[in-house]
Amino acid sequence: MKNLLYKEFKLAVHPSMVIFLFFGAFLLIPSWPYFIAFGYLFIGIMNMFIVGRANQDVFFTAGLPVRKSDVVRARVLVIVLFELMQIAAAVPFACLNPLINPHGNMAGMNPNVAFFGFVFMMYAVFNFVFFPKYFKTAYKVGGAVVLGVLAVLVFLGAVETAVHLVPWLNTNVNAVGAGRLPGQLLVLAAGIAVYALVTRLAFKRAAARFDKVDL
Amino acid sequence: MDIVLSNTSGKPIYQQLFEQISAQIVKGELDRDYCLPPIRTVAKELRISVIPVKQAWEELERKGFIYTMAGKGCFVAPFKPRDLESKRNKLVLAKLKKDVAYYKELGLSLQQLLKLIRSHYDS
Amino acid sequence: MEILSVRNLCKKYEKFELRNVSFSLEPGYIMGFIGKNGAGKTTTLKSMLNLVRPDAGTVAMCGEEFRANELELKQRIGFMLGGVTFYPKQRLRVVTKVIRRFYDEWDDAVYEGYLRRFDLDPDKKVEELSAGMRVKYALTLALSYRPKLLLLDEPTSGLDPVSRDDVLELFQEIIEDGERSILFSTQITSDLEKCADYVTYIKNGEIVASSEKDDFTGAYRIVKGTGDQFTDELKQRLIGYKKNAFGFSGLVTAEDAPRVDHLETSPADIESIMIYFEKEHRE
Repeated sequence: MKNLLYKEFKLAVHPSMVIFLFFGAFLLIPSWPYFIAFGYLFIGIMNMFIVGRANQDVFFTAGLPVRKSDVVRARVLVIVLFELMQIAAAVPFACLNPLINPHGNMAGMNPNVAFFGFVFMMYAVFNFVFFPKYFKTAYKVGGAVVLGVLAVLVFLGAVETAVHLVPWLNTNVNAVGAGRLPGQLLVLAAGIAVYALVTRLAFKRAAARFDKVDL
Repeated sequence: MDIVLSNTSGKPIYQQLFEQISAQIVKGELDRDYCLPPIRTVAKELRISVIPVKQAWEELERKGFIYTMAGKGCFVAPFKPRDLESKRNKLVLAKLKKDVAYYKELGLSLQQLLKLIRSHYDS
Repeated sequence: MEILSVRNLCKKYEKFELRNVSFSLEPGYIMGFIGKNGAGKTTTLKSMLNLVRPDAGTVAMCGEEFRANELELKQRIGFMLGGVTFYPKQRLRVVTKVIRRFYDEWDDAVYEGYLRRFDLDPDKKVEELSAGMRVKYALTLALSYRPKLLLLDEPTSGLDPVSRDDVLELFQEIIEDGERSILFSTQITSDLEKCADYVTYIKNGEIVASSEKDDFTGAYRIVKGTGDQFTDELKQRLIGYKKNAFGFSGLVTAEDAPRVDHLETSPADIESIMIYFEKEHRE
């Protein structure tokens, strides 16, 4: 797997994905729907898979001494790595956010601890939709990304609505900074758990589908 | 060892190999215990497939021209001069029988045939 | 022991079907795989390598079942399905750097040797290579870990006659130690005349014959005759035929040859066997 990851970073990772890592800085924009800062990665992923298709990446990888499922595993791992890096890169800016929005975010959820729990879930939703859909053909990228992003939008819509309309959530989950920490930590823990489980499931489904693909 | 294969003679490759190598053994051009090259090397050098070479080697062994030492290769069998002569005669006879039959078919008498052979033997 | 054994491989597509494809190869030999475009050569090779999922059948390489030992076997076999076309913008040096890490037995000396032999410049980009050079690069990659078995899809296509001859000579060099084998598909039957020990012929997804080359050609004869001699009875015996303004030519099995001894018969070569087989049942 180390070799496959080397291959992904040496040949397949799209430069835009690295650039988008810096978009964590968008958490310093005063009052903004901060979830968007994490959505750019989807564009990076689309770039990576489209360029990969042009380079016949799947065929290249399948030709190496690896299992067919390793082709999927390597791809999922790289994306997971970038999702985690995207989150990590945003953390310092999230810490600074209360200085810019002392009265809280007017345009969406505060980038607090619980917010990151939802970011994990948002990536989980994308992975769950995107990977199995893409590896059904290992060819059609656009549809899989669009479907993944749509699912993410529905999820985020639900989160934002719930957080603003349900008073208990608004106080406990949408607190500024590290206020009301226990409730927030619970959401974060749930987010991480959901992310781990769902991404694993997404990998399994994608690998099973890819096994049936004739290259 | 010399081998020159002909593509136009119509003779199978393995037979050409057999005839040329056995002739060289009978004439004493290949000494006893001379190590024949491995069949795949011969195939590569001559740019032919492996199987005819293998067949030729098998034929040579069956007729007692060479012997095989497992793992080491094939070697020219040790012959006493008398053995060589009888081997040679056998080869000549086998060919002669066929040829004579052919000449008879064409209606040549023994006299005519001998005359032809005499006039061609030295040329 | 067989180094390659394919048993009853089946794969059904909408418009094409691979039916019970079986053949085998022993160490130290070269097998040519022939058939016209679309006959199923590439599908067979891909099914053997699990790149296409076969519906049924077993494939064993080096004595082990392929699907169960895919990872380990891929270290010991080399394959090439067309020239290198992936990552066209990358330099050969970079592509190699990635690939070599995957092979335990990768040998840089062997790799460098083939680069020189094929006159490949590692600083060139993949897209800068001609079709023939891409094939040579693919071969170089497939040979640099000294695989026991090579499965090559049209390794000589796109090569000029001189390079083709080089590659065929290389094949004979590879099997020289008697432990390695090569299966290669080709459209150029003279490739086979030069170096193949065995021939496997596939037509419409089915194996017509898989045998020693001389047995393969020896199993058929070409017959020629005038238009009057082209009787219905004869037509029944012909595997395929071509008619012309003055007469006809056709292919019969060697067993049938004595029955048509009133006609002129001659030995068949691989190319004519293929041509007449493909003309089967056609005017």
